[in-house]
Amino acid sequence: MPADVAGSARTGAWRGRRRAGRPPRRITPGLLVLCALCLVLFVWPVLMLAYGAFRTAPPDLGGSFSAHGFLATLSDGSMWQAFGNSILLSGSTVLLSTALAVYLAWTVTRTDTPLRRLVTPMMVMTFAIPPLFFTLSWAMLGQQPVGLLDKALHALFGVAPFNAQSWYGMIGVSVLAATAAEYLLLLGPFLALDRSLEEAALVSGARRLRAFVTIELPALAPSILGVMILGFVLGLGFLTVPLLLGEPAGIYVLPTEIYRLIDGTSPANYAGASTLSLLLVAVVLVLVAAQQRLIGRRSFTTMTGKSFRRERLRLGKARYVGTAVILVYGLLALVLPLGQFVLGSFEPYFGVYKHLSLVNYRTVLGTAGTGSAFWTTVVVAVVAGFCASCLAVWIALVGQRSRSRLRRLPDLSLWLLWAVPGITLSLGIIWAYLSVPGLKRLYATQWIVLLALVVGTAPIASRALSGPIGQIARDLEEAARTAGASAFRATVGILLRLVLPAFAVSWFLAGIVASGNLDIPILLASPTNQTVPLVAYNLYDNGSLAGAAAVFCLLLAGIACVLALGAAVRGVLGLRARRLLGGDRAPQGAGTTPAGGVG
Amino acid sequence: MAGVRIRGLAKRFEGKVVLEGLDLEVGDGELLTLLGPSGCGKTTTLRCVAGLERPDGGEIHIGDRLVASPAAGVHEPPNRRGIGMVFQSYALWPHMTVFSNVAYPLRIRRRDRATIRRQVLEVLAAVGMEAYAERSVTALSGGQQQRVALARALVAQPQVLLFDEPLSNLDAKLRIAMRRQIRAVHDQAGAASVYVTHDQEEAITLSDRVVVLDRGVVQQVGTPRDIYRRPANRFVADFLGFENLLTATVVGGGGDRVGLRLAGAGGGVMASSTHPRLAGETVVLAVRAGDIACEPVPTAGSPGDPAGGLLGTLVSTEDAGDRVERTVEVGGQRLLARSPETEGDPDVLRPGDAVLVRVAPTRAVALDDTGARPAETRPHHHRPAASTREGT
Ligand SMILES: Nc1ncnc2c1ncn2[C@@H]1O[C@H](COP(=O)(O)OP(=O)(O)OP(=O)(O)O)[C@@H](O)[C@H]1O
Ligand SMILES: [Mg+2]
Repeated sequence: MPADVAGSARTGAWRGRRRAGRPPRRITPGLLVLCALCLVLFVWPVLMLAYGAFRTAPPDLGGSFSAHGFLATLSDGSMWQAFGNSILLSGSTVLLSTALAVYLAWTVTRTDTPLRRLVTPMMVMTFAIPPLFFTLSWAMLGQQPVGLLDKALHALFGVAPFNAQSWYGMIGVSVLAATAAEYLLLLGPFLALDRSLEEAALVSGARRLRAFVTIELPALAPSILGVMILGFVLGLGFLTVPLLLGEPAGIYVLPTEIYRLIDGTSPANYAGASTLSLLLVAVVLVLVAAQQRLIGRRSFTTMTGKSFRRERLRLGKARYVGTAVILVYGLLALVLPLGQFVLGSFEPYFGVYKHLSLVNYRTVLGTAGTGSAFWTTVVVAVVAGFCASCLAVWIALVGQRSRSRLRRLPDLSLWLLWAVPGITLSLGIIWAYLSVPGLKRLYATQWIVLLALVVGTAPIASRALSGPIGQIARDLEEAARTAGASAFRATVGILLRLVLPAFAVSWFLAGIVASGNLDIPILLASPTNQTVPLVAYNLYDNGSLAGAAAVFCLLLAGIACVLALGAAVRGVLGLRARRLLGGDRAPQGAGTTPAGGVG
Repeated sequence: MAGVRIRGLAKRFEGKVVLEGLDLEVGDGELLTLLGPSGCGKTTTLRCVAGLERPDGGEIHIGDRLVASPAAGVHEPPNRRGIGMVFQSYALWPHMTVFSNVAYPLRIRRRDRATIRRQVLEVLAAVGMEAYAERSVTALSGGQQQRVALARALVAQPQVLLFDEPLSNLDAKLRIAMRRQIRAVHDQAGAASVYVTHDQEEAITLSDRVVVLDRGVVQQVGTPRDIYRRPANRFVADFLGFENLLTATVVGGGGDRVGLRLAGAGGGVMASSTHPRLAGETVVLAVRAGDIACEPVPTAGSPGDPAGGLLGTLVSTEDAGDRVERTVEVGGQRLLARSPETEGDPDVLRPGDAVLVRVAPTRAVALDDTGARPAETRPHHHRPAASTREGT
């Protein structure tokens, strides 16, 4: 065939890919305001960590510059051991949970395993439940000699070697929580992967398993690797599990060390905590950069126009293996912890299975601080979720609409936040706001908690919104051009309406995460404005497990109500929301029609 | 011996019947095209042959092997059917190079390294892609990807080759070039090929035999010339671009030639017919616009002669550059006539003029007036499976 034919085809494709008719390159006041806001909210606290690492005194007590705290921390062997522990914990968690998540995603999207339809709802529930919940309930389940699991094992085998407060407990509980998030992130790519790739392998003579291992898995590798790195990064900065399950067993990791340096030493060693935070941020930044270098924006998953459900792999008898895995996961992640919690909340004293009563609820609700904690939590979750989602919409719009070079800045600063774990962020915010005279008054109010939660949940909101907005923006641009309508009216009138379902999902997600967050209030809240997770943690820390269970049961009931409400709203808006979310799965450049909502 | 034999194939999706009692036979070395409108079940048929879809009824043999029969509980998985397939989307594996893509079927078959290397380069050379072996498949143009997909389907020398609209994503020029290449590759491989398309021109130029499908039922099986010139029913005629489908009455003739008369159109037309007809029977007269000529009415015509043409009124004339298209009304029905640009004065005929319409007698076809009711048309079994090959 003549070469020029191929050549012309290629230039044709390029021409098609170029996007026409962008607005002119210029810096608008709105863009400047957004950039300033992002710098203040997202970048400044991180910079202040570096500042704090070289100060001799806590944030509000003056002090001078010195490298002493920084160097002393870095030369402390126990810090490096904590660093190693962090890597070990996060690494093993990521390996196990990714394997499980990939297996479950494959089972759900490709096989005829019975009960596979249970998996996604189960994962959504697991994801919606704050990590503190698992940790607390597993701490209770494995409590010797009174935990439910401990008792059951004793009754069955006479021995119960399991103790949640150990390496196994920490890794196990982390895996349960991480699997849900990874599964939900992987489901999209698994559904979006062109099924004919697998079919081509089958027709080439490969068996199903081989086709999966040699074709589908490598084609999904960029997505899986991305999820793994994200999981590892989040695992490194995760405070709850090691705080509740590791510390009692004498296992320290970076986040618990940071917390201990501030809360467990006297005087608080802010320079040391800041140094460790910097170390954490640096490691994470290197990882994220490495990921970008390695796989960049490469994605092999393509949307195909045909969204027919293809034949499922018939596993024969082996299909019950998957069913067993699903059931065991459901048992460990939902049934056992929930059962232990509900049961525990009725026990007059944890571990006493007689005389069940409502006394804990009465005590908890009777305590002045708890009632206000519920109120604070609700307000903080609703407002933080809303603000974070608004910010995410703004950032996404600017990123896609503006032609100025500055447009990348808000997005990049948001990216930086993935590298800043909750406890580190709280510390950065303390430095940032206490060092400015006027802002000092914010300290120990619920405003600073709120602010920190907005910053902390902004990346999640951005993830939920940037895809759908990308889709809408593209459609809008074309529609506006063909209709010749005023761009501003089209944007406001159409975009706001179209973005609404995705916005609701984002608000909901960010609110859930904010309401269950412990890392931020644990450093920022004062005794008068605690949130529910903090109250539950304090009760647990003081040995009142039953009280903690009661508090959490109330919080879970609240989340369940919101979930039910969300499901109802989704039922009404159903189709559109799914279409918009489905768009998130499509790679940015794919010009094909989104065929979301498969399976 | 290879080849594919399909008997009574049935397939439903969620209760919706897509294929019903489909019979097909593809001989060794034959290239058979499945032609039909979108959604008629072409892809489904192909996927049943490949084993990617489980039929609900019927049997499929590849060579002498029964590969699918729900009644007998047989379903050979695709990997054991010894087929090669070119997907509409090419389905090249994006994480592999051109070489690895093509080598995959051989690696599955555990050939040794040297053999793999030799065979892959051979087949890449055959499709003109040997220079691209180490490229990533994502860095290829559409036509190049298509050739790699072709090479991958061929490399293990399968007995059966399946093509699912492999050219539909290419531009017109490339499509013609690739069509030739596919034909050449098929001839060289000597496999039994099934080629799915909804493009009638592609089917006509490429295949040994064409099967026209509508709503999962075979409408006609025949050589491209047969299908093109002698459609078996109204649906096939319409689908293959017969512009004129007119209602007519049989006035005489026997065997495969009949004389027809159109109500209110004076003279008559001779047409071929697949079977003898009774005088007075209503039929559909199918003619291509290019086989109809218009001329001024001669003063001393002989309108009683069926071959003498039809009398009508010119409605409009359209000059389309190298040809002239005329719409003529004959006895209340409109027909389209297309003639090459003539040196003569095109304005001899004006709208409103009476015209004499002549239909080339060998090109007109009389069809049953059954509309496109698929179930009533049966495939023509009298034709031998391995037909004489028609030039492409
Ligand atoms: N997996 C499936 N589930 C449900 N319906 C299906 C499925 N696959 C095909 N169909 C339906 O079966 C019919 C035939 O589909 P098929 O893909 O075979 O058509 P086709 O002839 O190949 O059409 P096209 O030329 O558009 O590719 C269509 O009506 C289609 O909607
Ligand atoms: Mg098709």
